[in-house]
Amino acid sequence: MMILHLINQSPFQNDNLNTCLRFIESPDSLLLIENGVYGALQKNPCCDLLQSLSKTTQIYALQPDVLARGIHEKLLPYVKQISYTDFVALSVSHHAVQSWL
Amino acid sequence: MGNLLTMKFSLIILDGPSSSQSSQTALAFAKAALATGHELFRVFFANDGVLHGSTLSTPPQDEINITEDWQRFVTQHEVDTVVCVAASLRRGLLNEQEAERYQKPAANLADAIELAGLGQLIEATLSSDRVLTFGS
Amino acid sequence: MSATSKKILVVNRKSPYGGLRSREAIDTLLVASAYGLQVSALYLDDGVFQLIQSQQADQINSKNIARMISAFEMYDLKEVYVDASSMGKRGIQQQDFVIPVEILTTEQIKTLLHQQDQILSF
Repeated sequence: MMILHLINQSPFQNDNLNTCLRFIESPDSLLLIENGVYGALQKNPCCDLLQSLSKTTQIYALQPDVLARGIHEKLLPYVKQISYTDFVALSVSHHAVQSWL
Repeated sequence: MGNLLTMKFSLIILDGPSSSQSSQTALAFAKAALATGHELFRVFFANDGVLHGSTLSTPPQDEINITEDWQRFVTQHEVDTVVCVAASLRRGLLNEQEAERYQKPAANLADAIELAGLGQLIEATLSSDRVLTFGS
Repeated sequence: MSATSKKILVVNRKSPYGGLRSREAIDTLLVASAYGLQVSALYLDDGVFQLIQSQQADQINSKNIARMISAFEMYDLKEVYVDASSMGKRGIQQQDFVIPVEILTTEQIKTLLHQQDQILSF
């Protein structure tokens, strides 16, 4: 089973991303949305864990949320920005979607 | 399970229209899902999310009215849309029948939306290929 | 796959009071169980506080979450899992809990998550 893990809150705010990173494993994927996109910043509390995760797992950020917050030039290089249509496609290609609320 | 190209989605929305961005994310997701040929089996509003059912939401004119946007969307696409009955009554969201039953002065639930119990959420979970939860 | 054979996991990460999310999660678990579904519950992070049996919710005019959880057994909901690491971080032990639970390691929780057809979070 492949899980699409959704994070919608900032790693500066709470442990959601940290907890998710304990359980995510290849071939799962991670999608950062809403304030979760702050987790894609080059400097953030989880960037070391994300760095090692990125070797086996695809990490995405929802582009409208990135652009809205004006942080598109400060993102980790391996984070791929995607559209809502891509978000739907990822929900289809994974077997379940887990929102870490 | 449906074929991989066309899937049945259900969405659970837990936050109110003005308590987080979730409402807008979920609506954008729902629109993208329909636009790419997928089906929305049900939208289930729970917790503060039930406030999406109100016909009385009146934000300032220079802001979007996400509650109305949701209601227009589910009406236009005939999406089966439910507000959790217990959560709704607790937050003052009633249809005509409940307003009469509890002797309240008004009903404020949009016509396109149904008051129902958690059984509808369970059924959506069983009948859909994918369930996504939006909230915070 | 027939609909009723779907495995559903409800993930609980919120503390018991200060919001109604924990109650709605419990209601969902009870309804799913009453329908005879294969439903299980996972408690992690602050969610483990929901299971503490010595809660006195009447002190804050609330319904007792632990007492609601104690109804799980009556509803034949036996698959209740708790994250060992979340317990350790909070100094909580199995004897603090209101019902018998299965305590899982990180690796076991990974397996549990990947066995599910649907995961619900409250």
